[in-house]
Amino acid sequence: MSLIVAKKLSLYYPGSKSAALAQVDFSIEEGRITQFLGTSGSGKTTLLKCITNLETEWTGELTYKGLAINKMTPRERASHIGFVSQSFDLFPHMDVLTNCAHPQIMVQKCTKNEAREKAEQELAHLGLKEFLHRLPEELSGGQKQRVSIARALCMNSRLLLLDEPTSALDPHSSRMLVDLLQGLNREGVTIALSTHDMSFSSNLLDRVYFMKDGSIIEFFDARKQDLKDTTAIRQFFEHLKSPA
Amino acid sequence: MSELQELIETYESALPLLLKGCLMTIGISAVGIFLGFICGLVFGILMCRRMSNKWLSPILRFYVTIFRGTPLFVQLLIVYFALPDVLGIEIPPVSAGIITLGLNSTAYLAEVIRAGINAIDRGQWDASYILGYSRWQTLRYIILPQALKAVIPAITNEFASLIKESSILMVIGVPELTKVSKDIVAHNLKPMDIYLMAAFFYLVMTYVVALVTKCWEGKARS
Repeated sequence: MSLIVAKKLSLYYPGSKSAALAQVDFSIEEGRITQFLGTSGSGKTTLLKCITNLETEWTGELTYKGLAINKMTPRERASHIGFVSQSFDLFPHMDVLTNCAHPQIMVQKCTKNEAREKAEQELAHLGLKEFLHRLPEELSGGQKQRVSIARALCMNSRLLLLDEPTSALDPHSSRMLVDLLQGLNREGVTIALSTHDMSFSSNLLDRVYFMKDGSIIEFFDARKQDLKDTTAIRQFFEHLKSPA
Repeated sequence: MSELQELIETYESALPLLLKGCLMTIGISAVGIFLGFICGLVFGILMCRRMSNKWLSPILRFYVTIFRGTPLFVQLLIVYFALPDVLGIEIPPVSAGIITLGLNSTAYLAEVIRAGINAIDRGQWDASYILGYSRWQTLRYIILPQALKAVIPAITNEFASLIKESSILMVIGVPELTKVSKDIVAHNLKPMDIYLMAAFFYLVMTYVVALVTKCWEGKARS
């Protein structure tokens, strides 16, 4: 089942003649890991921002389970779609537990106890039990990212979007993130991410859209195709195997 | 009588009056900064990038420009002498002093708070939006706690400035520290002794404000 469907999605930034997204068609399937692959400036982040409605000036069709994304209330969107940005954007004046509990209290109107209980559960699930009362500034990049993921999961989001998730991580944290995302996916969380990290991407191959200059130029589904049958995506990964 | 004894006697007789003047200075400045903070907070929010309104923001910016670009003394004269004339009402000196200090510090604090809010990373607004917070919830729980923490020094600096600037209220007869000192000098004809004492009191007041700021900042950081 498709969670997100985009048809002829286009976006122009004010003052720019070239499209940030040019008539893009794609879908994010429930229970799968969908990657938007491509070099910097290819439109991956813009595409994720359209799904979260941070970009609103797009044209075309963009739906979540058939509902137009831009017609959903922020509260509805938050309870279906979680987003982890490149910089994680934790609230620096709140400790880890409050970062995860506060949105539930404010947005989902949970009681303080319910929210804290759920936050503790999710944080423990992601291996952060001993960091509950630390401030974000006291955490490493990988830990901050896990808190950001836990915060999204606390809102019951079953679709998790991650923008360039390895950009602030060391190689060890990147490997741990692969395991974490695979684990969450096995538990039923649908994952969509943008990346230009070939090594990271190759460990999560499932559904891949390859982007260039705001367009999707190739699609690959690991369940239906062999990587050898692709052109741009295969070339992208060959760079990894035989570095210049 | 020795000179030292004479000095002690001068201070002994002047001290209660000077302390009363100090209390008036602190009171007027504190109420002025309180008014300035409340109005400055509202103005700062309505002038910041994310909350600005195309009709209201230019009016607020105009207000800030006027009050930051004109001398406090002139503003005081307008509030105390010109406004009552135009409106046909009488404003007591203390009230006129408080209103003037409040209006003036509103302009400075609005600018400080606006800059503090604008300095918060855009990602904080985006993250709050994606999590489903309303704009006002974002402002109240996410942005303002961070922005105000950053502008604490600027707010207390403004308070210290206001304590010193409140001395011009003597021209409309507010019995603050400078006015009291001037009255004592008119009586005992010892300007050096009394004005030095007044200067010392101003120094103590601004030093205490600086000290409290430091403690407050440390507390906010921890």
